[in-house]
Amino acid sequence: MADTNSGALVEAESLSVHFPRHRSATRPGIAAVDRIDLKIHRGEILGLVGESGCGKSTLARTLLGLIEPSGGVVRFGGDSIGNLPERQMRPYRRRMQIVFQDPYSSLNPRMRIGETIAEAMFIHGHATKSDAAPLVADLLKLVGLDPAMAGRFPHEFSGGQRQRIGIARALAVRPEFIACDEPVSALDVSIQAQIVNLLHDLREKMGLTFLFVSHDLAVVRHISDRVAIMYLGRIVEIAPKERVYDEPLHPYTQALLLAVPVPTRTSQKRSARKVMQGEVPSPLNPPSGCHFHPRCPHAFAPCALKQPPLREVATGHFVACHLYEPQQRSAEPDHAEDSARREGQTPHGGGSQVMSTNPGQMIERSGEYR
Amino acid sequence: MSTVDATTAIDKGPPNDRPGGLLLDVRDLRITFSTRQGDVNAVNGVSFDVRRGEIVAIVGESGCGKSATALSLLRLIPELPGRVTGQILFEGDDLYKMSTAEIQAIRGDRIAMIFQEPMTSLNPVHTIGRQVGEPLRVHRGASADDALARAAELLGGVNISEPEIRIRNYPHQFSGGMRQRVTIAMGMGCKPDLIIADEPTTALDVTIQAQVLELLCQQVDNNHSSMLIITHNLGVVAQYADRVFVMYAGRIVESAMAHELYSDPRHPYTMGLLSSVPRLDQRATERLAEIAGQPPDPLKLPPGCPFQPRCPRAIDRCRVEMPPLEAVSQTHKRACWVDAHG
Amino acid sequence: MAITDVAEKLLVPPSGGTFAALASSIRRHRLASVGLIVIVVLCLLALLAPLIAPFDPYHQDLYAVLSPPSAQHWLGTDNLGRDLLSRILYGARVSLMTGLLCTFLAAAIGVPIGLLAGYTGGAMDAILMRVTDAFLCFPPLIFILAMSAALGPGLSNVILSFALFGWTGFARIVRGQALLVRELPFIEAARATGVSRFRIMWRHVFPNTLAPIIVAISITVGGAILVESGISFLGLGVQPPTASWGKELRVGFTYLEVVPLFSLAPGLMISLAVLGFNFLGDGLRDALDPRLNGFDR
Repeated sequence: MADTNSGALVEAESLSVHFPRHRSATRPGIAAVDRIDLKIHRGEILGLVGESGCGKSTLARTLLGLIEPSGGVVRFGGDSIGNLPERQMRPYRRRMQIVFQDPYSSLNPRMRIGETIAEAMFIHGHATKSDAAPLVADLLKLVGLDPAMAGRFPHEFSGGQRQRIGIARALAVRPEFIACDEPVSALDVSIQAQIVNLLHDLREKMGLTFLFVSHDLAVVRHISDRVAIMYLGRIVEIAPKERVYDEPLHPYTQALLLAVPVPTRTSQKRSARKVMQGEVPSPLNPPSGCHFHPRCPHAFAPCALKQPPLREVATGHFVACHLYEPQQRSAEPDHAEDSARREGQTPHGGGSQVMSTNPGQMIERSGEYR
Repeated sequence: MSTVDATTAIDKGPPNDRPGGLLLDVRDLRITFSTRQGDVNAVNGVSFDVRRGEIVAIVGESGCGKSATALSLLRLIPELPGRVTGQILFEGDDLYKMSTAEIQAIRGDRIAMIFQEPMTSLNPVHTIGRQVGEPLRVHRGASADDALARAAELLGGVNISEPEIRIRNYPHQFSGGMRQRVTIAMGMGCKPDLIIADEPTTALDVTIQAQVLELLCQQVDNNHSSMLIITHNLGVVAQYADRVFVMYAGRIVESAMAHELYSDPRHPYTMGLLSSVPRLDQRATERLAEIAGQPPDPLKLPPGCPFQPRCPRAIDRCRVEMPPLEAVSQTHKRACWVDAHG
Repeated sequence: MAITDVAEKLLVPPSGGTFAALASSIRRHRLASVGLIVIVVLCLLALLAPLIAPFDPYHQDLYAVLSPPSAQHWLGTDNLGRDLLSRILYGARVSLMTGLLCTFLAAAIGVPIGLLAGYTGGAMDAILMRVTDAFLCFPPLIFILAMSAALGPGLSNVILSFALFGWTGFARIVRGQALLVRELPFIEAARATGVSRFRIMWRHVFPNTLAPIIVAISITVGGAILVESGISFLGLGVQPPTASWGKELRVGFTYLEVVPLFSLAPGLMISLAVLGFNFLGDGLRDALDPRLNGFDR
């Protein structure tokens, strides 16, 4: 990226998070986040997409200082905040917030929602007991709720309303940066759009910086400026939104895009969809080299051996794939054969499924970037 | 409040035992749960049918009564808080008039069920092989060894590699997608006439969802079974379902052949759902179309049409009177007072 | 979704605030209602003892010792000619008060320890729980007897020694619940806002452990009344001339063959109170059980 530190509000440098396999284990743990470099620019919405267990939520929490990194640096506004003790972390807490996936368990059921929102204000001295009420009312109005509801308990609200309350709580400390961890995936379809639109409007109104974590590429497209794709603890592709959706480079990104169900039906006959085979490998025992190679239809020799670095292949478009290594360009036309050869090979890692790929379909896609 | 959607099926089609024959016929199903706050009418006069060889989808959001409907088909609604009325005819026999032994003989043999949570629908203390073979032992009197051998075949059928080894594994040794394939294998064991799949892919990862659904539909076709698939996501079933029923607040608001529903939705709720889902096949607009308001509280359903408070087209009549499910074409019905085109 | 449903039901009473919900749950549970009525009646009797007792419980009438029930002395008199009914009414004050004090003191020790252990986790948890285990190794009755013997007989020593032992149950219950609650996102939300540990424990974790605490309190009160009676029976509890149920039972026991009511009446009161608290506790447990939420029983 051409920008310097000044443009990045949140920054990760070679960030790793390892979880121990067992309490007393001395072996290295699961690498939930594996040497990630990432910059989130002021005022942008970065979408972070991946399947469950890929480490996207862990990454978001580490950027917020809720999980201690095992290695690397987290910077917020230029200051390193990775391993700060809680007391020194407090001034940064005010500047960044989180919105959770589950609107049911993310609000204290024993506190009135007004109290929940006001608590954040008290902690950071934005309000006192006497003048909190109008501020709470303003926030509730901002997120589209009736201010008269401040005295109610969370269980009196529906899922979508609770998610609005969660957003109001996050806004109460007047943060610069909000990480949304799957904010709509627990909501009904008809409510998801409401919340996406609300976040969109808030960004317009308040110039906030967002990290939007989701497994749903279609939702992310609506809200993000840039999109990062994660697979087993690593970022495999990151690019401006248009490029990810119009010219996805990484085979995993392509597979994810194909997997998004589209609510259309033209023919009367049922039609089989082309689907990617194989399981997501267990992060306990990730495949060697590029983690995606056992499922990849284009995998070839170096993929199993060497982890591809995240390289810039076009302005602002980074991808971690051997297909786009300069010296490998010549190998590109052979995808179909490579993948065909791979069929019937023993699987790697935790997944036990041998891939039976649809090379043709993948090539169709890859035609776009060749 | 009387509903008029308890009308008969459109035409009776060919005799019952051939493809296209009537397999399951649900008439005026009503399910009520008594709770501390009062009676909740989870399902409010729902009629639908499943024909042989057909994949039928019931689509609706949480609390619309779709899961209660699925459970009621196998008489799995707990009797204490729940009350089920109406007729559920399976090959012409009312499931609710059968003895416990009769219904148990049907469960898992003629009608199989696949649940949403592959993590909890398998028993963690038994081997996979034993669980997959269980229906065969119960319904076909297979010996333990035969059942195990057949289980291995079934697991192979759902693309689980090395099934002879895998049958000795326990559920925790399988990933989520694999467990759901195991439950599919389990459901298929007795080649049931009807599979009821309640949100079979919702708990799975995006790339795995497509895989599992594809497999499920394949298996249904191979076995010449029928499937009733319950989902909240219109997109998931778009390519697979033959017919779709859209439920809202315990009622069917629209029913149509799949291609009709997706290309020409006629109920404002269906239209809203279709346009509020972000889609990759269309240009991204800055804002998503949204359905305003919240889903209704089943304890306090609004008067008239339950969708009326959120409906952009509601007229005065909607606030007073529940519209009946009326045919707009031979295969397409919708319950709406306003003549709406999508 | 399934997990959060459970969490939701675990934490949230069906409607309104905690106490409104509890009251409505109790009303729906027959056994709990019976327990509650018994407890309320006993408490009223104890509170109003000075007003309703027909005689001064300490007034001796040596001309009418061990008299059978009569119009004047409904339950007869004791070995010193004191009115038994009045003694039992006054004894209720001592027995109930002891039961409640023991329990609240035990909870006051156990709840913070459990919160600290459960929320903090790690080494703190390990240390506190080993201490708890150590306390659990002693048979409580023997310890209370030893304490009373060492510190001298008297009610305050009984209460103190009961609390010193009874807290372990509270600590374990609260720790278990705190372990569960601390994983819920609203705790993380509080952390992300910069709420201090102490405040998280007090404002966010503690209120969500109340349900099992209330159940435990109810059942422990019953146990404490029983322990007090036992200790008094052995002569180490309340000292004469103060009346308590255990004490009356002890004295009446000597005259069991002469005036059975002398020991039966206090014994019955002890049983009633213990049963009442246990019924209420069981009922509360059912009422707060997430699996039964939403359905009538």
